[in-house]
Amino acid sequence: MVKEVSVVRGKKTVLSNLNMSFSFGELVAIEGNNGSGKSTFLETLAGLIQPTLGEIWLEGNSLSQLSFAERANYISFIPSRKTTAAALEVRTAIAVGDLYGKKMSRVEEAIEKFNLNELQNNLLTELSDGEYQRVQLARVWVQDAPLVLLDEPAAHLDANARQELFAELLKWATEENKLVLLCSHELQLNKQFATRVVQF
Amino acid sequence: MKLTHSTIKFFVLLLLLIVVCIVALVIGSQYLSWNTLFEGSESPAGRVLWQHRLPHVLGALVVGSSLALSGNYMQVIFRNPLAGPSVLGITGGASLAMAVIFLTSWGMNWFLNAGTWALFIPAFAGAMLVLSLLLVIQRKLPMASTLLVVGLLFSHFTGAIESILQKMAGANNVNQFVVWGMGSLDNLTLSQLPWLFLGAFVPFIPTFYFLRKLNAFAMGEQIAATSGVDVVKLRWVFLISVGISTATITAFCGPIAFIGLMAPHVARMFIRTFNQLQLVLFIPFVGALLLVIADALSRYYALPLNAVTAAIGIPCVFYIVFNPKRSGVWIS
Repeated sequence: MVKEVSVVRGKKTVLSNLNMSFSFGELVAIEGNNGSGKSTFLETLAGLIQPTLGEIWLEGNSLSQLSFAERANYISFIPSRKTTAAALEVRTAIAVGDLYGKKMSRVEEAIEKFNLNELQNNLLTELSDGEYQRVQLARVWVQDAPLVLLDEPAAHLDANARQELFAELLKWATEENKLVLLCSHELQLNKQFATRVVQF
Repeated sequence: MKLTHSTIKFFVLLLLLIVVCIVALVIGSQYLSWNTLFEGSESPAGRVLWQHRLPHVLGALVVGSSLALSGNYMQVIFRNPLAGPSVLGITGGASLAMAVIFLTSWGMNWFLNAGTWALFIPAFAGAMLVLSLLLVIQRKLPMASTLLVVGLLFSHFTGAIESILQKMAGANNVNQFVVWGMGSLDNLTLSQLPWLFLGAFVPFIPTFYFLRKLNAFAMGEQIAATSGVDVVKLRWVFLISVGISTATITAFCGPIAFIGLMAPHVARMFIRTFNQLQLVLFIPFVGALLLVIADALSRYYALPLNAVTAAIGIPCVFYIVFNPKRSGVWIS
């Protein structure tokens, strides 16, 4: 639940007195023009930006009171590719979802599930956009947090890959009862798959 | 299968290091026969071996492995494959602090009385000052590669102040400082080695606990933070260990270039992984190997150590620049 959240960056108020609540099992698409504050909203929810005013509540816990490790049990995040950078091989990148080395079998499962067997020893820098996005999904799937945030995950993907991505995310929401929030400019796909569309 | 493969490579590396160390004990400006290895320190040749060569080789093992770990951590933390203590001006910061001591004679007597370890204090202050400035500046830079330019500017800046101090200082002080600045393991004694080990390598031991988190850090700060990593704390854990280690090495041996930059890349090429959990087993051995070789060559041909490390290191930099994807150039 987002309660009276405002974010001010420099002199600009990016988010102003926002009140929203979401529940598990939803696939929420956030639409809006560039610069409307979609990414800031997502980063605030992820705990990466501290709200200037207001608070984020997760099942009765204030986000700002949780440690990094506790947050990771609640929230996983896929940033847009432009902000992501890594020189790691695919397998190691997926294992980042398992920070304490307790879910090794889930890493193996993820490699199978997301069809990354042949790429597991490639570097992320060598992957196409579609392959890279599959690695990110696999990482988040290993982390297995109930809240999944994605910043423009469909950007740079071809039509088929976009369809597959949205279908997979809808499955996460409906079958695994996760709350999936994504920023997306894909108006058609948002309408087709999302259980709720929020305008910014 | 993969584990066996890595294990074999590990033992190959270890064997190579042992062989190189033994050869390095024998060669130098004066060739020693193999039998000297089994003699005591009473004969003249034995004295050369035990009092001169052995501290060199053991020192190169400690310094090489520590510089290599520093370079590796800095490349991940600053997300730049060309990062290393000497490239980013951290050695320069430590070096400037030493210049103040050497060239102004300020507090020189106290330091001379206290012993080499005391030079660690100004070197650490200089190294941490530059590290902290880099961290502050890095957050405001749009591209990771720009940080290299900033590091270069720091190096030039500290170099400029050093040259002003040299101009004002007496010939004796300048001579002392210039020789120190060439980087050398010549002045190491066996009794100093435990202190060198304590300051240069031991600070890295706590970092081994955080290697999974360092992998997450390599994915970007946003991913690391949402995977459960306190990124600010993690960064400081690594950078303070790098600062202490670099400062210790600079105090004992002067600035030693290129090993920290080069060794992580050689290790990554050798075991073909970027996974820190595996890499950190190999990187110290590769760094040690490179420095033992460089030091032996510098003694054999009577060249400054940094001239030899540069001759090995510069082709390595070219390789990184021309193979950005395979050498893991981070996308900014």
